[in-house]
Amino acid sequence: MVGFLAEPVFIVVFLTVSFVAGSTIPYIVQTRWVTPISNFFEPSHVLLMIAFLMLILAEDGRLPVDSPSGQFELAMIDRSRLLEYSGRGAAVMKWAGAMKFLVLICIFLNVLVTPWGLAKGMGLGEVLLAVPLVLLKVFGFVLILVYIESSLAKLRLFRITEFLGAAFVICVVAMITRLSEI
Amino acid sequence: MNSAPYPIIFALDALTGALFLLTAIGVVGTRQVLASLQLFVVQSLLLALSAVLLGIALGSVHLLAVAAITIATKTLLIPRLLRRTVSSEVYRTREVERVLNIPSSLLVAAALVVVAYVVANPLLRAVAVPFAEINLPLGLAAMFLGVFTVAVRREAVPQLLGLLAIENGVFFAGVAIVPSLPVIAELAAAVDVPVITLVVGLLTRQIHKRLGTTAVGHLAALREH
Repeated sequence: MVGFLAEPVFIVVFLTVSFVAGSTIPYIVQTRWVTPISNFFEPSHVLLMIAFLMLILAEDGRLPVDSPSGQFELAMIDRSRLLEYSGRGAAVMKWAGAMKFLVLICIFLNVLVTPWGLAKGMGLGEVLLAVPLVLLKVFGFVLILVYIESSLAKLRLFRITEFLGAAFVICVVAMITRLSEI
Repeated sequence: MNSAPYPIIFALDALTGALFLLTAIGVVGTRQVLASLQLFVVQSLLLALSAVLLGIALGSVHLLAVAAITIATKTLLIPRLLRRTVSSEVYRTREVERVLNIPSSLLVAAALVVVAYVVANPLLRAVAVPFAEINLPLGLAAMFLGVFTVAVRREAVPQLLGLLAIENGVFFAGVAIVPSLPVIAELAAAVDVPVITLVVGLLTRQIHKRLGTTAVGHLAALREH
């Protein structure tokens, strides 16, 4: 629900990713980070990862921004929208949220954090091997997310803009460091 | 991109620099006094790490000494001094009232980083030192952000931390430009900085005792009775 605040920052993040890597195709972007391996520690890459992580937390209604498991209706932003639905409608809404989360995690993991393990060719074996690898990465990331969520308290409503503003500034700094290196 | 003979150390130094800049932005943006103190400690650790990396790459013993002195004074001595002199009540406060609100001050911080890179570009053409292209602009940026912290915050302890962040930024740029910086210069700074911290800490303690607050931004105007 705070997605409308996060959306502009998201556009800037994706713009910066493609700007830093010089391409919008995930396969080219991910090879950019690991050839040579010292590119992985580039300041722009690290700052982008931090900004993207903050955005995933905000976009999916995770804890520092939203409190999805709370009972108190004023504290939960995203989940209280679902209270008006029931039955199939509620299921579709929840499914949509989960799909968005999965897509974001997949972009974050496969393009930025662990740019290994995607299928390199069109062969059936390679694709079948890539599926459990991606699931394994997602599982590992969800564990980290659980740790982050259990160690933070919810931000007050008016501080969400500060959180997203920090993500935006980190992103801009990533772009600047990239600009000046060339 | 770079012609350094040590690609891995170069990359690690760049990473250190990025996190250094991040902590400098954090000192501008955090509300809690204690959190900004912890961010300053992390920033000093990153400064020491950068000095160690450069010392290994350039084979300079001076830089290792600089790192040791930085860790001893800035991560151990200064936080301890500040915690002892200023009462713990100050660290529990949150700075609600600032000159600029946090999102706009973060935007100004981003603009300052741009300015630092623009300023550093012609300087980089003048000096041909291997690691200056990372450390000089980031050090300048941290310096500007420290100045901005002093200007924008009203509590005494974060203002002091802004001053110390300026010093950190200068050293971050300095370790790259002058790798054989005499240890005596660093020693002089290492004696200076804790004394400044002690004086400001004691002053803050007195202000807190008299006024019950350390929002020194309100003490700028004289009042006649």
